[in-house]
Amino acid sequence: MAITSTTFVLFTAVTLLVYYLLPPRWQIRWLLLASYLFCVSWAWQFALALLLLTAANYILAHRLARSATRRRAWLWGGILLNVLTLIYFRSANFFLPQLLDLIPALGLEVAQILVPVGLSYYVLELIAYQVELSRGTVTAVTNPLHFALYLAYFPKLLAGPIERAGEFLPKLEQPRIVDNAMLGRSFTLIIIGAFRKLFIADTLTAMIPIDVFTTPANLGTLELWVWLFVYGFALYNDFAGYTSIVRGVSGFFGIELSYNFHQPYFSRNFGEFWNNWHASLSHWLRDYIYFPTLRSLLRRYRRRTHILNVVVPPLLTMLVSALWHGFSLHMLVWGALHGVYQIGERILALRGGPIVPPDKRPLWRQLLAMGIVFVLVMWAWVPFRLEMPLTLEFWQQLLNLGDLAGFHHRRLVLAVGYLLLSAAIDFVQWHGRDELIFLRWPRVAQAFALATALFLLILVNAGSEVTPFVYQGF
Amino acid sequence: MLQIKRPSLKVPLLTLLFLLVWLLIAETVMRTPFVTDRLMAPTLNTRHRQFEVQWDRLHKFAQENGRVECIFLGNSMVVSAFNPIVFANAYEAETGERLRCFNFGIDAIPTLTAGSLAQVLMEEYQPRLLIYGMDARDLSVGRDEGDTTVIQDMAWLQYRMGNFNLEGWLVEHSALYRSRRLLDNLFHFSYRDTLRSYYGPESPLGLLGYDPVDTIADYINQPPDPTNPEYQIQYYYRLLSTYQMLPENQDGLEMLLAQQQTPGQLLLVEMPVPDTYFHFFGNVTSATEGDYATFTNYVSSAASRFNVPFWLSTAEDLIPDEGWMDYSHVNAQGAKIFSAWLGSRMGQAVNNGELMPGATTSPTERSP
Repeated sequence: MAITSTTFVLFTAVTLLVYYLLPPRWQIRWLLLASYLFCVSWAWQFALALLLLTAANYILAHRLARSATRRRAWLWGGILLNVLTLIYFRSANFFLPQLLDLIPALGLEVAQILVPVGLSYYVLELIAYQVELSRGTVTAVTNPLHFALYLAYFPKLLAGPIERAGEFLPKLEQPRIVDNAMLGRSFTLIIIGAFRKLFIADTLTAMIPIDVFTTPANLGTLELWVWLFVYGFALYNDFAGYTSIVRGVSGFFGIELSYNFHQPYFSRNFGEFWNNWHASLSHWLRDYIYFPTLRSLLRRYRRRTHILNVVVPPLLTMLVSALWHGFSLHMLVWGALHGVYQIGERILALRGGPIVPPDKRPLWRQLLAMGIVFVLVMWAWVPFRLEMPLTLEFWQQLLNLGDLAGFHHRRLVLAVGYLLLSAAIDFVQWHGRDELIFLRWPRVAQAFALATALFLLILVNAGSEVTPFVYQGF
Repeated sequence: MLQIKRPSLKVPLLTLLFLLVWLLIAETVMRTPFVTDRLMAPTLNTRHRQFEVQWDRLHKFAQENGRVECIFLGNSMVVSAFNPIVFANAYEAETGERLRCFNFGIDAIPTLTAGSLAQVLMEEYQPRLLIYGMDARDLSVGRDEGDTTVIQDMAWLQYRMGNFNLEGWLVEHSALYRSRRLLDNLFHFSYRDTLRSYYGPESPLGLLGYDPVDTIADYINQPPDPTNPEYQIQYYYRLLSTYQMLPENQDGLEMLLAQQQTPGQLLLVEMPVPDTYFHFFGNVTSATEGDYATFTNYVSSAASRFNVPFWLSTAEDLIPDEGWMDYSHVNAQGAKIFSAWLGSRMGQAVNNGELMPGATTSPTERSP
């Protein structure tokens, strides 16, 4: 059940209706049932995997909480269980056929092992929960239904946001109030999300000619750069659109989910970029990979400027991020590139004078920094999208100054229009420092913007097939 | 818990108002000649592009000629076999009267769909003559699989058949709605290419719904090989080797036959097949044997109940070896021969009083 489908709209409407008809103590049970139904709508095996992992982690967490002497063992046991589950499902299709080929006597048939929906996301939530439990920052959840809902909650099941137990679980225990303001916010988030996904992302994705990613050397350098920007904006609007929709849906249930995107292409350094791009994952990586690694190194090399303290934490963090996105060389290159960007930025900061926050710098420096970060992020999207041989070919053509002006696809002009539209929406949100700035507009302007968005959605989305969300694949 | 206090309806109402204004403006713009002249086939909101293109061609043909007098309906065998100009020439040679004909063949449509289309075509154009070209596969079990029922399932077709639904109503009455897939695909760029591939370079024959093919099947005297993995061969074996008629397709034939409003307005014709075609049935070596005869006898019996003629063509041995494109389709050369035979035979039947095409009446003026 894709979240842009009519079935999902009906499913949400029915779930919501029953949710409000039930007394509060039954609401959690109902949401849990609905979430598992949603999971089963993809495959019953996915629900079984979720259930088993939930049960195992619930037991492990209680063992960890009760243990006075073996907390560390229980913690690592829990982390290993979750990491190995993720590795198994993410790589089963690579190693199982070969393994079964080696032992033909078993006569086993090779079945396709599908990665359960949302596994990559709820595994991170489980690891965070185990770590926080061992640190004592959260207590073990005593209500198994609450714990199960924390993982299975259907608006965030497919692709996050990755919620922390300490922030999500109290929302289940407190009264979940849906008032006028919440309704307005939720509705606006859904419209913005649908507009980003269906109008901008899907159109941009459809516009990208096949040869951009198959034979990049055939395109002119400038044209290739613009198509790369188109890809970058399509990816951004796709995932930001998804997050916005699910946050809106969740708001109707009185449960606010974390943000994931804050106009990342306006970032003035890479720290800012990762705070604004898939923030729930970035913050997870920061808290459970970057800081522990840095702390561990600082215990040995006390000087903050020590080369290992500067290089290892960002590089390791981004390599873990790359592995989470996919077990492949090109993803590792993407992660390593971002690691190198951050290392470079840190070295420059250490050599310069006192650190000035980006927004306190002169405007020209802010704009220059924005441009540099944007171009380097785009450069890194190449290995994110393509296998290594094609990545190298693509990069080579991006630097080919001998073929600057060749333009093969006239639709590029329209694509640039869409980029500007996306950038304009971001600019309004960024300038107003509020993703829901539209709610502060005069009512007539609000209504006009809303009606225009709805009209365009009706116009472009009619009968067309919706592209699956990119980040659902991770 | 819900704590909603007297929600302000100002924004939702204004939004609705603005949305209505947008929709009205767009509907008006879509109806202006400036836009309609630039659009290719207006969509009927189906992914069956060939049907949309054929429907659009027929509509334009009727507009340009005042009316369409005869329509040839059927599957891909009809698409490749019925040359409207050759047919009209042969008919004119016999009767002295010129018929304005259109080939409304659609690939792979089963009789179930043909029955529904016959009803809509009769309502829309009231042709003097509707000729349905048939083959055993049209009635077969398995002919309702895959994409063959896409047309039958169209909301618009169901609406036109009298089964009211909102989408069908919108397709029928709103220019904006009809064009929304088109507009959507203008943004997405693929639709123009797809449409162009169906339209191809517009030829005078193409405008009559007929797309001649020049390919010659040099293997036509060799029986098909059951182990040949080619899709068409396997599909034919699947439909014909254990031949059975699907009740829904039989109902479709009854529905089609019931469309005859005046005697002689409807004609069924067996589409010609080569001798090697019978190998697909397994137990048949000629058109008068086994399951193939079951098919022709069934159609003949059904047609006679409705007083509709059913003409056999295979037994006439019309098509020479070089007139076949494959095991069931004629090429351009075969189409000339078949169309000339049909036009001539029809002219003779009219002269003899055996067939009396319907009188000229004005078609209703409604078509998307």
